[in-house]
Amino acid sequence: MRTRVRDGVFAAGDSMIGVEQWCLLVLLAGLVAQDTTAGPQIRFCEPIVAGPIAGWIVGDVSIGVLFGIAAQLIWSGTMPAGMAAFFDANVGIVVAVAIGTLVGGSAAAFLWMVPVGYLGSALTVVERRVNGRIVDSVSSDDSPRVIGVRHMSGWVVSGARGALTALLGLSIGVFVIPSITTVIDATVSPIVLWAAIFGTGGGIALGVTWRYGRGRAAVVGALATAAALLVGRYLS
Amino acid sequence: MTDTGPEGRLSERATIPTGVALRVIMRSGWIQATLHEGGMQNLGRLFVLVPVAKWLGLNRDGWNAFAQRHLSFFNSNPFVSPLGLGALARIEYDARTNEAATPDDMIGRFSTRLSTPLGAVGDELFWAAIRPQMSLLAVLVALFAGIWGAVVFVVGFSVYQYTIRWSLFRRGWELGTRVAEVLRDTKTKRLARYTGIAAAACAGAVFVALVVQMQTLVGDIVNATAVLVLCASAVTGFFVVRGRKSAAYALAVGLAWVGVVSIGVEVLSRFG
Repeated sequence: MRTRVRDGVFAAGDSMIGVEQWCLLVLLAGLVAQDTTAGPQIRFCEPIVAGPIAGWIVGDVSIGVLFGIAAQLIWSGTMPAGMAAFFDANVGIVVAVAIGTLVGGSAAAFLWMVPVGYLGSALTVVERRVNGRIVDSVSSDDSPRVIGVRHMSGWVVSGARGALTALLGLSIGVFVIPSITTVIDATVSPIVLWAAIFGTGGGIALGVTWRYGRGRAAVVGALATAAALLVGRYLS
Repeated sequence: MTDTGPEGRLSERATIPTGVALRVIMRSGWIQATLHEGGMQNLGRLFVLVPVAKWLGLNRDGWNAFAQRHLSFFNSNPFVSPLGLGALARIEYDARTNEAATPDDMIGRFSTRLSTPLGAVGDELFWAAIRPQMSLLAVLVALFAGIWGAVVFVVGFSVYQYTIRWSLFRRGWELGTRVAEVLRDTKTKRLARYTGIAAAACAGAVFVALVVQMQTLVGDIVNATAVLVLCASAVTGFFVVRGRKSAAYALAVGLAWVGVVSIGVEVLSRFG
């Protein structure tokens, strides 16, 4: 079954995401959670990459790119470092993009990644407790093979954490977000909402990198881009 | 790197086979699979160093002692961990030739002492400079070329991380217990600084590109409310992050501007 969107309005009563797409999204969320900290850390978990992949699964890459750009900007300074409980924007974006295709790329679907991200963060604490038990079960008498199996079971736990986060986020979001979208769209212009999201993202990007060059590098980058765009427009 | 075998350690230039080095570097991507409070990456370190133990040809007792040593506390930034792992591999290699020179508790003390600087240098380089730079470059490309932004991120970040992992492992192997020299030298700090400056330039470029491409992305923003909200949320986003508050908090403040500005514009239009 394919997504049915009428002018950005959710058509209630239909099953919007097919079973195979649900399975692929949950699998993707698991892999994204693993790549975030557990491994292999290629960083395909980043919103700018995971967003379009999720979009491709549900049949709308452009929503994946749009949400991915916004999330990558807003969380460009987030560090999943050490034992700090970091906000899980990566699994959040997978869920947000999937829900976003149901509501025509509404900003409300994008914002759904915030509670999902906090859920992922809370489950990370549980995951690390499970990891502690796995490590406690290891002894120096174990063979290298056993050590490998025990260690990689932590990787599986990490995937399960991501899959569970996505499953909960998708299950609740499918019911909640379409109704919220209807209310929000009737109250606020979607363009104004997106202006707030992208404005925040742009401000955060400048804030995160400000310490390098105290704004001089940012001004040079801005002027160079403006000049390049003007030249490009003049030539075309 | 040529394989002279563990016995070759008595020679002036100790070497580790390229295959062993590559296996350690590839495994280092999974060093955090069992990250936990207490030992942090201790099991991860042992898992990553298994190829070294196999190369050293340890017997059952040797392996048990090796596992015991490497189950002590270890923590580092995953991308710069090969520096510490290379040093540990070298210490193990040297211990095979001169056991008296490497006391049993040395690995534990060395790992604990190395953990904090490895984490600090790695976080500064990767999380504060390289990731923001690649993120913003990818966003810049995605704003004009869509999906290609994702390709730029994965390829660019991979080039950075695997080049750094490889060179740090080699340095760690060469220096052994003197590995702190790498953490003290200015090369890593210089790399972080130049990458950070490039990231800042990308941030400026992204801001201009966002304004230009907003119409393509979400529609025409040429109305007073949208422009005001964009500017206000950008300013608060900047200061919230500079004030070390979370990005989600900055987003909440940005969304609050939607309400404030919308109400303000409505009031002005009624009385204006």
